[in-house]
Amino acid sequence: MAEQVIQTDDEVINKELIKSWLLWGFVWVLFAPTLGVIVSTKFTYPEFLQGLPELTFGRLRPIHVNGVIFGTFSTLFIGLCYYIVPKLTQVRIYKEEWGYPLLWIWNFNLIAGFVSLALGYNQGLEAAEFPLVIDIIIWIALLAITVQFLVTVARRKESGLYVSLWYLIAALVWMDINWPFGNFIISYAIPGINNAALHGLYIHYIVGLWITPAGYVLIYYFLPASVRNPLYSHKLSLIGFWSLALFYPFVGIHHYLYSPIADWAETISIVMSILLIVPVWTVLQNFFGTMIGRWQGFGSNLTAKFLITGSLMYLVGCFQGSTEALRALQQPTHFTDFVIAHSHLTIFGTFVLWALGGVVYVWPRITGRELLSFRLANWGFWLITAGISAMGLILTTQGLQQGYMLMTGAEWVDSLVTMQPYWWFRTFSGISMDVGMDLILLSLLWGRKSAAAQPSLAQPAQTAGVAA
Amino acid sequence: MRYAKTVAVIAGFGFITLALFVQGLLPALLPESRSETVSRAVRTRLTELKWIEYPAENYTELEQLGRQVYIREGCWYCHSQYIRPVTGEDQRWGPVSQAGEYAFDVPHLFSTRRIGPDLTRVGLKYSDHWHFAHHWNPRLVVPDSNMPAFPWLYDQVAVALEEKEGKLAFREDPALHKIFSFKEGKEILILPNTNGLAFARERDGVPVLNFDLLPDPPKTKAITIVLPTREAEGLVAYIQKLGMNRGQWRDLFEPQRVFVSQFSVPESEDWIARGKEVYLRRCVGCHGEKGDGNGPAATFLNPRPRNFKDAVFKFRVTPSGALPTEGDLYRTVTRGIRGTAMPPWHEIPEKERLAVILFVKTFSPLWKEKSLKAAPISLPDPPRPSEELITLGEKIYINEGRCWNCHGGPGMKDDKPFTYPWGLGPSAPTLKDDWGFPLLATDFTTGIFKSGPDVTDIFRTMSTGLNGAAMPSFADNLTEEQRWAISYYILSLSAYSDPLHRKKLQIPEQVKAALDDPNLKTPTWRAAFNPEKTEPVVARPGSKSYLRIAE
Repeated sequence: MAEQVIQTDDEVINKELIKSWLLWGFVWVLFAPTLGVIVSTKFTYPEFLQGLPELTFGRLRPIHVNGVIFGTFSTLFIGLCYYIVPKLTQVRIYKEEWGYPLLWIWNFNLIAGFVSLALGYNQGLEAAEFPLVIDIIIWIALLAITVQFLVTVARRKESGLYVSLWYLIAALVWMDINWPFGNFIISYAIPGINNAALHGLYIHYIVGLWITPAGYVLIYYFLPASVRNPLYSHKLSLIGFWSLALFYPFVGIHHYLYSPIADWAETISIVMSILLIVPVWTVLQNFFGTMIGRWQGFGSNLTAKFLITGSLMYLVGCFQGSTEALRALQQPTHFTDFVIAHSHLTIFGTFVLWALGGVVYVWPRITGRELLSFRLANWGFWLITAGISAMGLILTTQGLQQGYMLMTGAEWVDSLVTMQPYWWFRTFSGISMDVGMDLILLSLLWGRKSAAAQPSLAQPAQTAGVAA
Repeated sequence: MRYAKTVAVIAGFGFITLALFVQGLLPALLPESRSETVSRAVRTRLTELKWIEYPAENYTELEQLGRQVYIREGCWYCHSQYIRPVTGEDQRWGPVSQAGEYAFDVPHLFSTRRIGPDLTRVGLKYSDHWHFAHHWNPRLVVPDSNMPAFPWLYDQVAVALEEKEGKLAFREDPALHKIFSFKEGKEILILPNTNGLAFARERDGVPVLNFDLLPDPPKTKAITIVLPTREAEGLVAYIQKLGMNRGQWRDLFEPQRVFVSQFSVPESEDWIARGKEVYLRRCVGCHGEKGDGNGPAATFLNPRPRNFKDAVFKFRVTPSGALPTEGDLYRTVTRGIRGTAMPPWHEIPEKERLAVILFVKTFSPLWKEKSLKAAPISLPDPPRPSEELITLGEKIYINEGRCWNCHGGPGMKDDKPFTYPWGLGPSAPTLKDDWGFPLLATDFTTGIFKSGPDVTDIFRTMSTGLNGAAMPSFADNLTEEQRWAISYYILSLSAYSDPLHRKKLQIPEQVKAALDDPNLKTPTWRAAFNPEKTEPVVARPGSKSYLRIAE
């Protein structure tokens, strides 16, 4: 199986559909992170865009966060799945024609959601902020996408089920369960600390049972494909998958340690958070293992560069995430920018980077356009990498500093004033990331029509790897 | 792995269900997690502060509206709502959070980030007026704040001014009539700041412009009046509600209690320079750059911020008319003045508090005046509280003290016993401070005392009077014992009362009797008196029978 050859004929994919989804993804790539820069400017310069309710911090922050999760990452992810799934199953997507209405429903619904948030319609739970109507439409779209992909998988011509597809199936099922749980139930019922405990679960299901497995779908496909090497170990894939599926659902309460929620429940969440090192290090070993023997071409392989950089960020970000769940580290770091460092390193540094890696791989193949300039795109890559690295470092440092300042009794506003220079640098690091992504999109959208002779597209059948 | 179904059923569905059971359902099955009671600090009849297990109270309609605004504006992205038992949070903000405090929260607002401070214990830390200033523009009161301003929570009306009889007055303007009712007999003071901004909370009355506080005649041709909308009132009501299920906890809050009242600080240039830095970062918004109580936020505040130029201070251990000691100012800075915009500053380093006192003294030459200096009065240890003492206090309150004249309550009318509303004695409406502004007589039933919540604080105020205000010293008219008796009586008036909604708590008489016993000790909130456990006769707080007994 491992040596099976993937067909390069594109009979099974719908290029126009993928292109449309990715184009909408690009809209969110431009929109949501840029909003982050605007929001971060308000830390240091609170009068910035002051006076209009729609442009205050409290209204823009959820648009930034939901924008990156459901706009930037999820839209790109769904678009890329329309590429990956047919390739791995060798059949066209079930009810492919749904793809277009879904595209418009998904994206216009997001627009409506962001407008509602700006207008102040907020359900009041992190990662479940969209108003009910928006939530219902998102759920319907998710269910439709689930039907499309799951039936496609069921009808596959390949007898095996490649690891990307395990994660895809799990991610969709998890999200279909979690979405109504968070948006329909705990937003409106179950008062008090139980609401917080359940919300802790919900919020971590969004990152752990949607974004994480979705990201794995992408890297498990694009890394072997782009470096043309078989996956390092299928056994590790198994360990990684089942340990993630087992440990991740239990970690949510670590968002509310030292709260009135039962200590034993908090402790279980801490233990599980530490155990998450198992799936994280396992999949990373798999990714770096896949690179063995392929480092020579790495510098000019933008997809692999995004995927591997994202993996490095994942190593750092998840180690941070696991350890900050420990009570001793939680004491200073909780509520500080240390946590924000963790979320940026993982959501952006890892998953958005992996999605960008996939985009750089897929876009030329469906449009027949080469990168406008590798140098330009490479600059984009390095600006993104420098930006997110700096941001991770800055936020981690300032989180520790503020945390320990407060632990030693510093006055609140004094601790804020100390944070100001860091926040300036954070804004600049965000600008660097934004400009980097702009350059990537620029070199993709204004790409050169590629002649068949160009090597990267006319490569022979990709041997191996992706099918197993 | 060949079977998609395995993945979907076991991983996709099975594990998440298991987790929801263990981490979601099981904790929710614990009765504590659904508790609706909290430990609450109450004042007993004999004026001790004790902790009792008491039902948490749901939000009022206005508070619920405020909560919606709080959610809408995303306040919860920057302000957490739970106090952890670690990192000194219970010394910074107040007692650690309890499950019952969240009984009525859907959705919860724990939050995961603190860009601003935790708000669990913010209720009644500041006055409503401080919050109105703060939400209009946070930098008015906290220059280093990076919180957004919320001007859309206010109605704004720009009014042109004209000179009438040598004074600036409103030009006739229909916009003014849209906002104010112009009901005869009720004046609404409009005291603009130097930027031409004026705040008014009331609308039912005649707006009266007053520029007397501003040092130079203003050149402004128009002012902007801002008034809180119902949403702003709701938001502030919600903020004031936060933590108030724990009752009078702040009166037991150790970090803001100060007992020392006499010491001296070297008046070196360094200290004063340091004090100026502190002043410009913490005090200038209300007290103003010149120390004249005319900071840009002052227009929002009632009572007005202190004018340091006059060197008149209310809360002292020195006799009536004298300057306070440095210790007096240190106490005021540390514990704040409850019920006013002056917050407690226990969080800032002690040295900063001392330094700023030295700087404040530079605003007035009167501090050098020998005749204004006086030795502190002696503050003896209080006698033990007793029912007899309190009853005696009530008699003196009515007869010798005639406290009801301003403060209301039991008094006389045409030589016959008469009960006035609390805080509204017959002379209350005429009360003015030394600067000619209306004063409110303290309503003793609220349990909020500007000078401090201990019997010694009341005794001190009775003995020294409040300089600049209408409260005289009773040191010459009443004996020490009489002053102690009145002090205990005054404190006992706030027994079992809710300082937020200014009403009595529903506690059955047997429970009160048990709590009143001086032998019953509740040293911390964790050791709160639980009527259910110690008094099997008494029904569970919150249950119907409990409330029936209360009636």
